[in-house]
Amino acid sequence: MKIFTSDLKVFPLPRKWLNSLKAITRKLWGVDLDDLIGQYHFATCFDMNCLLWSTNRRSRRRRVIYEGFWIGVYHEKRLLPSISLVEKIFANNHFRAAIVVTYKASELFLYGKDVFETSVLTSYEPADSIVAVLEPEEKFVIGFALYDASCKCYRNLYDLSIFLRLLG
Amino acid sequence: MEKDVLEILKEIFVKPSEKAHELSSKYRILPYMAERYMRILGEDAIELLKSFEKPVKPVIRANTLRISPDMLKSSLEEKGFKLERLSWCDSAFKIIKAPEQPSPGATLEYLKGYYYLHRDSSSLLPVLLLTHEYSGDILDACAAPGGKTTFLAEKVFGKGTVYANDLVLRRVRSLIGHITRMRIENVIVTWSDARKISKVLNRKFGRILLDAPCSGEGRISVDPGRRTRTSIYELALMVKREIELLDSLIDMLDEEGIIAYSTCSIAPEENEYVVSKILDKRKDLEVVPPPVKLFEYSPWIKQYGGMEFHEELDKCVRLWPHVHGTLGFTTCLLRRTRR
Repeated sequence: MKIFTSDLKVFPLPRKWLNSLKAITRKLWGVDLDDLIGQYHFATCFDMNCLLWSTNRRSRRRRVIYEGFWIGVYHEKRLLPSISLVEKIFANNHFRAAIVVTYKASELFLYGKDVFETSVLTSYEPADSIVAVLEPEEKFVIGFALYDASCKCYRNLYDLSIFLRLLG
Repeated sequence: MEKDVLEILKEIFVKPSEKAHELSSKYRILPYMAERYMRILGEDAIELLKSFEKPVKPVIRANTLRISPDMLKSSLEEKGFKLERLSWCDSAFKIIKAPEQPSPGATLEYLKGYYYLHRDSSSLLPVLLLTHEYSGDILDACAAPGGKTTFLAEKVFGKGTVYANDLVLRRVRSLIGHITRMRIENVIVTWSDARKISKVLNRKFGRILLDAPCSGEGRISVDPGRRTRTSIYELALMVKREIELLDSLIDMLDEEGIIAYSTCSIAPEENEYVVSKILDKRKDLEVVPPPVKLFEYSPWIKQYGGMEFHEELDKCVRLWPHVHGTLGFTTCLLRRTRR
């Protein structure tokens, strides 16, 4: 199933993208993506931003543009796991590659700001690369950041406000 | 002008009286609308027109797949919101007071997908009526931006899937945004003209929701542009589309399946007239009363202008802004029967 218009593209997830997502989840959280997601994988792209999703439903109909489980995003030319996916990982495993930040820092992070090391309450190793950012009350994933030693901060890669900014 | 549209226009046309012109300039609405309100409501027309000036209270509906309504209420009240639970929907709260920051659509709870923010409570009604004691798949034919879809999905979670369709891509984008934000997985989103959706899905449904694209005449208090946006000719065009939508979607119902025809318009042309036309045309359809009385409903009207509507339509539901304190909204449940 493929849809290509100037504003919308829907297509089966390229193997390269899926492998890249698998590599990230294996490296950071030590999990096998195949255990967590459906059998069929697709991308729905508006402009240059894509939502990646998976389903177990084999029957694919024309004009279906989204269903099932949100597994990742392609945002600013970077492939990242979805917040739902990492929530699912943390529901069954210990926290890894994650930082819990202060309430104030989580608010600012949701406005697209970076997180300074001084605002990190707890770090779960490895925390020197891509990390899941958790708010302090429920330890809920609010987005992803990349550690930048030059500013001693975690650069915002994307956060929950993606729903407001990208999807209206 | 298309023959069908001309035919509709002839039937729905009313000549505004002098009084209607007076009301039209006083309340900044089109003369045909003022004439219509006077004919339907008599002296209460003024109450209706005054109600257009009053803001309605937005409603927060908890996503019970992720949080209990009580926990959501306390969490938001800690942030300075004052919420009042709806007497007829446990998971929904009117916003009585909101803090300056954050706005209800930008709280952490909202971003976490703990709730949907509705313009007002009226749009909850067709979902509650359609899903009452129902398990199975549902088609939401004109689904964006997603308030009803996400509520339907919650109602049939573990028991069915919602097929959410819309034609306008910008709105579909926002529909997907709400589904992912609220982590709802039992929804399949399609992008198609609802009149042709049978070819896309190639199946039938036990329940269909048609919240038809309409003039939005019930939403004047939140969108004042609607006071003068729709000429009677444009109204006739919309009516034609509404008839086509309803007719084509009924074909997608299982035998004994039910479709909820809803609009956010108080215009009888878009409600009583549309459903009457369909009842005239089809012999495989009956109007069913709401399966549950959530509050005191107003019935659909029996006649307007030179038109007499089907008697059965008094089983359908109208929400009047001046009576119910909501946006103007209508719902009619139609069951497909054996021919």
